[in-house]
Amino acid sequence: MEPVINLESVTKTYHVGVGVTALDGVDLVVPDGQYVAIMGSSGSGKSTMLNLLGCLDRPSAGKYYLGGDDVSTFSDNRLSEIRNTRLGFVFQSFNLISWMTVTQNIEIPLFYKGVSRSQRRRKSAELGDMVGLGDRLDHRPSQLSGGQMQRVAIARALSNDPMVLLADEPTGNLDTHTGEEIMEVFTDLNARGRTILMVTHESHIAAHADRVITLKDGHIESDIMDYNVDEHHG
Amino acid sequence: MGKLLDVILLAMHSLSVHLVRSGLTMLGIVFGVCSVSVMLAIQTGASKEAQEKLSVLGSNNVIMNSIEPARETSGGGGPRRGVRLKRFGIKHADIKCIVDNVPGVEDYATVNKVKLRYYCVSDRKRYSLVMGVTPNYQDILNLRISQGRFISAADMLHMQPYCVITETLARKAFRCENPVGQTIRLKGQPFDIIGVMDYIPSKLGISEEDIPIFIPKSTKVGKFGEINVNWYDGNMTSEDIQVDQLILRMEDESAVLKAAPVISSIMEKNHDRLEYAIMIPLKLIQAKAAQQKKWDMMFLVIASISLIVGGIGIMNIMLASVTERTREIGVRRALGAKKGDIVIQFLFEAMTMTTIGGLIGVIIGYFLPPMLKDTFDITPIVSVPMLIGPFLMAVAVGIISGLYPAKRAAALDPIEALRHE
Repeated sequence: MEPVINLESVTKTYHVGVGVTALDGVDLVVPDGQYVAIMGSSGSGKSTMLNLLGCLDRPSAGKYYLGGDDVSTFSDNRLSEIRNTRLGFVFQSFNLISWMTVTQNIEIPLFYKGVSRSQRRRKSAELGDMVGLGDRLDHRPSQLSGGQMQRVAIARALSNDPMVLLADEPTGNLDTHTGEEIMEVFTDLNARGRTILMVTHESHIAAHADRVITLKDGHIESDIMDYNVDEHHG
Repeated sequence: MGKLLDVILLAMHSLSVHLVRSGLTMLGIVFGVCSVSVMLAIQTGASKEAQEKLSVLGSNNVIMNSIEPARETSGGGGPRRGVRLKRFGIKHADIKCIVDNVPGVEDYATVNKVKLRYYCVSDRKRYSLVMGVTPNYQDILNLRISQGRFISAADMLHMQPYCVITETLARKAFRCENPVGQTIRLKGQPFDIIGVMDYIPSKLGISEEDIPIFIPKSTKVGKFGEINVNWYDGNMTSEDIQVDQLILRMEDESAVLKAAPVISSIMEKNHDRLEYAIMIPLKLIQAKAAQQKKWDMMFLVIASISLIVGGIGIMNIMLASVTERTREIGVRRALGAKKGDIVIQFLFEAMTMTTIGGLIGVIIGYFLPPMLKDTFDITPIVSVPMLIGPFLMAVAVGIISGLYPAKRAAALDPIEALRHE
């Protein structure tokens, strides 16, 4: 079985005056269905890693296989398509569009995929129900609590049934209790076979993952398998 | 198609969030389009009016009127009681001279006027302006006869006591009766009405209020003489005018323009006083058209400036909107929007504003010009096809002013945009 994500000696250098190497020859293989947490202090390269994994950026050197395709050579437009269909983003600050309703927010990836309006309505209602917000589909983000907003964001990330769910400090803006609830949602999704890559600096959040990777100065410092991935996930 | 509708709906939704801002921004376009439409309506009205006047007076005609020269002050002081004979105006000799010397004269008509009391059964004892005309008067001035006929060459030859009246007089004097065949008295003399003219063009020096009655020129001279006697304030004045009006029809427009200086020099040689006026409808209209053109240009510039200002307003708001919504742009890019999708989204917002603004402007531009009728001495003319231009201009302004902000939005780095506070 081909891994979902395969990084081959990926390097990212920024040229801001003097060249800064944010990632230095990172290799990473993530099999389907794995729940991976990426940890590291600020400046360790974890943001760069997430941007590369999220196809928001291209590596300076090395190869990135996502679902078998080397996306490191893809054009801007094709990367947009990859982000749209193979990836789902969950952000620390939710990043819902404030002037759009819950339904409309969930529909955004479907909109860019070119899904018809009636199908979008059906799918967004379904996903809203799944994250427990079926009765708030017409609400604006401002009318929701933090936890509810993050649930909408998760529903939105799932709308195109992505290969990988990328989460960037998903509990960073939530209180401990709500944060735990959101982690349950992730655990639940992973249990149903969703591959998750989560960036966090909190070890108790990382503890929910199968595998914890720690970055330091652009290198993988440690790669710990807390739990063995069950074969049925693959 | 569904996608296009989606994009339009998205733009409308986004604009509706900032309703006041969108509305105010739109206003610039509304005014711009409205002023362009009004300008077009006035221009169309003016040019139609000019065309009509030209066709009435005849673009190939040269019209000459006898006018009373300014009174010489050397004569005895104060008005004298008694008879005064004033002799002035265009002479028969002038006509011969003009016709012989001016190239391109095709035909000419002459008019001799006299103010006379007229009398008929239901409308009595009022003054009318009796016009002794040559038979070709109708043809040269392109006058329309609604009933009966105009004066013929035979009428002229036999000095027939026939007359042609106007529709206004016919209505007033005969109500529903057919005036043709009736008799009207002019200074006690019976005249048979042979025709009714349906309208008197302006600028001929006569109007409906003068109650013009047309009779053969020969009849006028034969029955009332060439010397017109007027009683005025107890004074009797006599005027001896050989020809009150001379209308020359030239071959074509270029002949008209060439004739003008020749006629002037002939008249200047024959007369030492200014006792005639030369009117060239073509020149008048051309002068008016040239003046109108200047106004049109100025108005067009002002209208364009207001459209440009409107466009700048749109661009300004769109740039502010892009900055304000940087985060949204980042999110959309992360969720799969291509650069083109972002361009389209912002471009459509700008275009939606200008299209709606243009539509409102065009609607106002359709209903406003008729109300301006009294402000300008022109009747503005509006038509739907005429408004397509200003509307398309508004749409174009949307594209032009929206493109730069939209491109800027699309060029944002998604990573930076997502980090934007």
